[in-house]
Amino acid sequence: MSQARTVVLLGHPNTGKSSLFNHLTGLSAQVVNYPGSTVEGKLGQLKQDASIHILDTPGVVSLVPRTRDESVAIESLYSPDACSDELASSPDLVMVVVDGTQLKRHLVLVRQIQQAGFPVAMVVSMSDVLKRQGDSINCANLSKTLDVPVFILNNREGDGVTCIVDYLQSIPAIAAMSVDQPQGPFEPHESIESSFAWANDIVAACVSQETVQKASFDWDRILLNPLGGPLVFLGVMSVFFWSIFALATPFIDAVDTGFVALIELLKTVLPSGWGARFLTEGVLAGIGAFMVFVPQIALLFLGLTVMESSGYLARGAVLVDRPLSAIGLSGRCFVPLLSGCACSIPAMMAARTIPGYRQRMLTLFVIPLMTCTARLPVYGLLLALLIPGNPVTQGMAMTGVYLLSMVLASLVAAVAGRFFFLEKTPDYFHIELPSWRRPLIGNILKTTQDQTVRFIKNAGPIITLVSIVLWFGSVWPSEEAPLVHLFGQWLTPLLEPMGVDWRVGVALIAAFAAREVFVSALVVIFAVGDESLSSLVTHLSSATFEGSSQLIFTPGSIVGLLLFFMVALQCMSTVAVAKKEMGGWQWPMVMTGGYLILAYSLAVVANTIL
Amino acid sequence: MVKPLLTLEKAGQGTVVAIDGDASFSERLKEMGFIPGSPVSLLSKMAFGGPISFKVQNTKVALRRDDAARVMVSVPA
Repeated sequence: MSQARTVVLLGHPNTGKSSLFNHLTGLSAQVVNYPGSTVEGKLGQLKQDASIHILDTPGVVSLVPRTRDESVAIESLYSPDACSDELASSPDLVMVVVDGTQLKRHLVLVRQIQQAGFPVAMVVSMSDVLKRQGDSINCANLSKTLDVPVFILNNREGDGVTCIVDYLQSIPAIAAMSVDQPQGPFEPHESIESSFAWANDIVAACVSQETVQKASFDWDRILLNPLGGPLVFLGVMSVFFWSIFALATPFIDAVDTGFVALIELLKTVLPSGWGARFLTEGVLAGIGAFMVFVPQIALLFLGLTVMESSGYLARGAVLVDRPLSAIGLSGRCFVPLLSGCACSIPAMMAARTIPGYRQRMLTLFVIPLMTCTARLPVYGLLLALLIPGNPVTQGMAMTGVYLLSMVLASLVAAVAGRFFFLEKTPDYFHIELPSWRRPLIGNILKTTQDQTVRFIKNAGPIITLVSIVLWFGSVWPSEEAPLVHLFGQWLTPLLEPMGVDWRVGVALIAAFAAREVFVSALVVIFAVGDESLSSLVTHLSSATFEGSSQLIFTPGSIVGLLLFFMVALQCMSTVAVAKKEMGGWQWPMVMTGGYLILAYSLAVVANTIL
Repeated sequence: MVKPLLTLEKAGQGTVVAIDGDASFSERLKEMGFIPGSPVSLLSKMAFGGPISFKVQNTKVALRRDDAARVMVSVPA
């Protein structure tokens, strides 16, 4: 059993660091939290030798941090043991991954690591792109000049990984024995200009152009074109949204059918009684209500990962920067806001990449207003009630609802930006546009899997828990007069101005577990025989207030409910994630309360006017 | 002739001379490759006052217009 060694992987973003990490650690990697922040890194062991621990860090441009995330990542370089007990108090090796096509800029980081006193090795990635460009790097020369082992890596094929693995297995565990561990923070030994001048000389000596390559077509001529860019963007976004909805449907149906079948099976097998009911109607139904989301979320992550690894997301951020800056945000808020159209939870986690505090908080504040997929079954039902028998108009109305929610989000961002988060951090936006690359399927699938699992761990427990609590409230103290009915009736004075009765109120309460539960709760409480949408629509459109012939679902009350669902923050998992991302309960409470009041007011106004 | 990067023409190439603004701003831009002496060329401008994309040090970078206004470049007269 060899001695434990700690290797830290460092490098600019977009260098193929993660794909190297995946090659080295395989499936053993786990996510670790950097202490005192939401920044995450990945920790794994070398496949061939589990005594070598490898820590993957977020992208770092220089040892002088520019953003909070960078400073946390750099701290972990000086004290890896703060992230995990498995790691040493100082790295035995810092492996810097540099992009072979950006050698000059990235060499500056290597120089800083050397000057800081860490043991260094360098991996030159993107060797396939280099070859395509007709350049070649003399690694032997480079290694001799820098006095550092240099490895060349072809990310696509994984060529070069074997040499790296052999090297890693041979490194000594020096940190444990050394008294001279590098101490942070890093003080630059020279100006950036000098570092670049040094790098320039090295590149001139070690990089040569082998063949003059015919310039390949630059996709940015279309994609960053003032006219072509936005057109292609709209096309890509349409395909993206279509896939999340259309492609997901068979999987969603499969999950749904699966859970229904499982519940039925258990009901016949288990002895009837409260235990069985708790298990089937409470726990399993709760888990099912959550698992039904997962296909769509996984497709969202898949689409985003493909767009990111190809380099398209950076172009997208540039395209939307101008409209977003009009409401106080920036192009970097693009991905979190886009993710919010699938689910707020991954969206809020994606907001960690936004550098400015003010922009990050504003984005987090506004994400719950993006039309998430859980709202779609609700909108589907309400629009079918509002515009009966006309699916084309219903479809157009659905698009209108999407656009309206984006308008609402913009308004709230603009207004909230005037009163909240007024800390004067400079609002900057500049972004490196990585060179176009064909994404690696293996990497994409692994990243999608990791992100989906993280989503399940974050959102699953809470949704399930709230479902169980609500189930309990719907059967106790008795099934004829359970707690949720009492609560619904208690809310009647508030529900009347919205134009609905206590039974809809119960369904609204149930929607706090997960919004789409609204539909199934209506089925139960209005005792609609079968679950098909058409019979639900027929039944509800003639439903009246108890003891009167006044219809419940009038245009006014339906529009009111639409507005309510658009604005109200009903998802408890979102509140829980917001607490973690916003650093406390204060802002999530402001958001929940504020949106509830706004949603209610809009619903009342709509019902009164229409 | 020295002028802001913002006014660089499509076909033109400039050489970075200096960066106006506070230390953290200029350090950040330098790290991206806007080192005095580096050649920089314009790639495209987004509509409605949106960000401008440049090529500098073999990298493509997009900057907001008011940031590009603070990078001074020299162009052949």
